[in-house]
Amino acid sequence: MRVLGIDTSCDETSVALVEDRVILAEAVYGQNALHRPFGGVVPEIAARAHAERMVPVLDEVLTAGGGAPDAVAVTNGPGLIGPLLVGLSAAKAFAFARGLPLVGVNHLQAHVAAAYLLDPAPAPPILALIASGGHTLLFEVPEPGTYQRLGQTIDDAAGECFDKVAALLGLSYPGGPAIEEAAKDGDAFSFALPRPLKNHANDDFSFSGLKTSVLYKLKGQDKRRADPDTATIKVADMAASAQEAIADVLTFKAVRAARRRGIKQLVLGGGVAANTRLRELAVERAAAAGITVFVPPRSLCTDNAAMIAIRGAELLAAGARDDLYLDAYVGGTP
Amino acid sequence: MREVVTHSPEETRALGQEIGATLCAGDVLLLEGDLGTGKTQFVKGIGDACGVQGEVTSPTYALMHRYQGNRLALVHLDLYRETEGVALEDLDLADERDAAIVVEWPRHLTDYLWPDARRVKLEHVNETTRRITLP
Repeated sequence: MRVLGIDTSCDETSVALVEDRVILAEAVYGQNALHRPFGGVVPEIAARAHAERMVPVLDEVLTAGGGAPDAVAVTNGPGLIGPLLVGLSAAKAFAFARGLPLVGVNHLQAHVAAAYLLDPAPAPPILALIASGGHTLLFEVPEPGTYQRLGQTIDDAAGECFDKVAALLGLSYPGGPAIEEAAKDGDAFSFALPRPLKNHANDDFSFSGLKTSVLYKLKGQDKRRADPDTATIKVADMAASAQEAIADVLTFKAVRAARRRGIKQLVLGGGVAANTRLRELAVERAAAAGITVFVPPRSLCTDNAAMIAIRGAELLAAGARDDLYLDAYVGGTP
Repeated sequence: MREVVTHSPEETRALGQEIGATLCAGDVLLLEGDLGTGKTQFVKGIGDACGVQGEVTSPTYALMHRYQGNRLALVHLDLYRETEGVALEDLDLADERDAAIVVEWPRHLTDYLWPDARRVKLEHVNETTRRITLP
């Protein structure tokens, strides 16, 4: 079954055609350049850009020679409401016009399902760490199609922490890549930053205190760590220390959660999973616990429509169908 | 106007709970303060007072979170990413008359939107201490 996936949950207009876990065609229109001047995604600008690019991106996939879709899968949440409604409307119109089945997909579950596009692919039971600008959570997938949330951030998301620390350091948006680049010349252990909730028994995360700690280290311009020539803190050292703190907590708790449940496969997903240090640390810690890590390439970690099609195919195979009253939702995790 | 100094995130949350207990449906509270001044902690306390189950989290990316508390519904807005002329009609707030509304980063809101809104100002004193000015 060829499934057409559509994702417009945040700042990328993404469409893909997938059959049997193979991507037949895909097209993405990214909006980073539009939002960069504002230091983050501006919802109103995002919704308008989606509306402008939706049909051209859809056309590109449909004319790529992958064949005609048999069903339509679309992200209906969580995400920004304006952007979501653009993709949802397009999906409904297309499904209605072609008489195809339609299914709404949870964007976070789809991030886990993205790993099914890998070769070799993991198979449940799976433990998944999904970390992005808007979300940070741990999922357990005990069997195909079942996604249980074990824990999540109680304040800021990991990607939000990257963005806000980058803003404090005067680095560009998006913060993740900017911090990773700056951190290359830095000493990850130059600043003792907190690891909130790392040693708590639960599977939740907290990142707002980390951002505040960075702020005060910068405000205080920690003299012991200051560059003698400029009397200022080296951005590279702070970037490396913050990146290390985030990667440390995420990988520690993900591997611990897998170990406790006897799960041998760990999937990373979400934009933050594109971070090289996070991948390294996850592989290192998982290997020590006899756990195999599955990390999709960057293009499948960040928002993409192929993962929506994959999760959609899973739902359709289980008999799920949505009608044209399907609504979008902003928040809420499954 | 009342000024309170808190010495930990927990104290900020407790103060939020105190203020939250005075909120009714239709009330609007604007929270002004830089990154890391404890705005989200303060809203967590308001959530406690509204009888929200589970944790109130940062709505920076989603723009808006809505919680159905046992005592009162709470709408938590974060306009950190908004630039100018915040288009509140996009947020569908017309349906939120039964909720208290709390707004972080209200700098781009125009005064006429919520003329009766009350303001809370949060300021850094040092790493753990915050000065909070209440209406």
